[in-house]
Amino acid sequence: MEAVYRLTAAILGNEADARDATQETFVSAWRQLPGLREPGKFDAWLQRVGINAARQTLRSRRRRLVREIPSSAVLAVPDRAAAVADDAEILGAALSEMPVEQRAILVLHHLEGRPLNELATILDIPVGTAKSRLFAARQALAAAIRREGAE
Amino acid sequence: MTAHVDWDDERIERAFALRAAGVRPLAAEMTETIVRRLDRRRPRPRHGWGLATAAVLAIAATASALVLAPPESSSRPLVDPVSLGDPITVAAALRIRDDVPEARELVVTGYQSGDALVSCPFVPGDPNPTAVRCPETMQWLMADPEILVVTSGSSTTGGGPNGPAFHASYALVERGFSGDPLKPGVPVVVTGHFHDRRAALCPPNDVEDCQKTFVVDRVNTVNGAQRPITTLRLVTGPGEPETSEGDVAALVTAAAPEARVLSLQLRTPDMLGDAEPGLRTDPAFAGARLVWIVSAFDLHDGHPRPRTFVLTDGTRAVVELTPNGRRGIDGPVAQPSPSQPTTVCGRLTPSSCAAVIQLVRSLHPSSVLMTGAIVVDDTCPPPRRSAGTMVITMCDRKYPFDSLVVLVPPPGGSVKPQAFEVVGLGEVPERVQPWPDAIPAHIEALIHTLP
Repeated sequence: MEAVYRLTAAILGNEADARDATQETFVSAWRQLPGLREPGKFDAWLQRVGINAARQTLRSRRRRLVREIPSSAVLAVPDRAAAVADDAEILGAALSEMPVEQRAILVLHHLEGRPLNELATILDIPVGTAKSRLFAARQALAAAIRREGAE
Repeated sequence: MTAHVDWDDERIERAFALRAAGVRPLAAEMTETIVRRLDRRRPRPRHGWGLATAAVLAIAATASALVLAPPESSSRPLVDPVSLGDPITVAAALRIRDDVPEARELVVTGYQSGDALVSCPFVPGDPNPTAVRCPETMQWLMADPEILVVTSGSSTTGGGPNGPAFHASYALVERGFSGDPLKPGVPVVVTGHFHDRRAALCPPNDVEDCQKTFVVDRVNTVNGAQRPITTLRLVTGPGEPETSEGDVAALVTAAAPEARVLSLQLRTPDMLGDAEPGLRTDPAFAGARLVWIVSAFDLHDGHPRPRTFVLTDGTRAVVELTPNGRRGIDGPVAQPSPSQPTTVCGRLTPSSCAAVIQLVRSLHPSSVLMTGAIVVDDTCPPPRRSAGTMVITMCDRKYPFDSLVVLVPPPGGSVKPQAFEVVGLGEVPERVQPWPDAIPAHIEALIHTLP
């Protein structure tokens, strides 16, 4: 359960939403279990249910993820060390602009270290599609990071 | 905030790891919460107990080893216990069923047989509360405390009751009890009716059988203990309702003063069709977050007649479901505003604000009619000054046009403000959806500026 929670927290960037998504994952899994075609792929299937739950949570709550920052911080030029420490925040802000599908593939690859074949299994897509989606997600992330930098 | 060049794999992974390290562990009670939610669903197995049990076990094994917790009671007293006269026997109820081919609320005393120990095959077709399917075909409300399943050595035999009995459907109520099939039935007093209007929506060959199902609208007593009016919650998404059970009952009785509430249901739209097959494809509730269904009765020509009301959570428009379809009935809880409501437009341009209000008015005319004031603003809070510093709020916007409309009731009423999010992909509002969260502080502040 902790693994599902970590996955949804990384996708949603919000612990409360991640808790809701985790609940939904297991309740949905209970309902959808008859549709599980390959019991050997239960873990991948459960992660897919988790990603869907994350998407639903975001859609249903429509809660705005807001960050309050002093205006002085917007104008300040951080030193290199502070910039490194800010990476997690920049990443979080960039992810929040992206669709759940792209967040999920980035989380699975860059946080969980899943190779392409596992991404394909979890997302139930061909390996080639996983590769192109990961590439597109990386492009979108780079663009979002650039926008964050411009703000 | 400044972005830096060279966001290579290593840097992205380090940032992901840093970000994940800040997430606190999951609370221990999460597993209990999930199992409680799963357990609430157990009384209505449509695809067989074997499969459902396997599913629970598989997931529980994945989560951790758990014991199913008892269902959390969502019972809350709403009004005084309803009086429909003294309970009648099962035999008397059967006579009324066969003699009077119309729906009448009856209070029946009897013994509810235990849950059948069978694994049911999947039965295609949409659920209908009047359609009795396996395992409910083996469950009876009996006149006498009969034992329907007998074990002898390694064999188990079962059958129908010898005395008067009928099938009771608990699809619309929080049943709150279960029985052991190897023991005599559980003594209960239930309120319900035969000849339910939903029987007409059963497959043509089953309509007659569906009419014979006793649809329970309230469980009055179990083992002699009184039960309050309950709410059956079948909610597949997160979030609590905006409207309280008491307010729902008040809205219904205000809309139909002669109606007396028997029980409530709170459902997400995907669960609506199980209770109301006629609403399964009805677009009126498809976009709702939560929907209330109220089972009630009134006296019609001296006889108690079942009535069903539906309302979208967070709204005040009451719809009644009748054999001829649904009809809207707006109650007098909040009287129409005598004049045009005051309008506060926040940071929206006058034309955008007018467009937003017009859109809400077109989709929720009765709600706007009852409104004393309409407050509109962007969902994102404006900059504010704190300790001499300007604080900017950065919002995770999902729509370029994203506004919140609050319908503020006239002063003195008990109805709460109602909020809608109005969004659009361009510069104009396109879609209205209920706002599921608390009203943001900056909009509360605007509301407080109202005279």
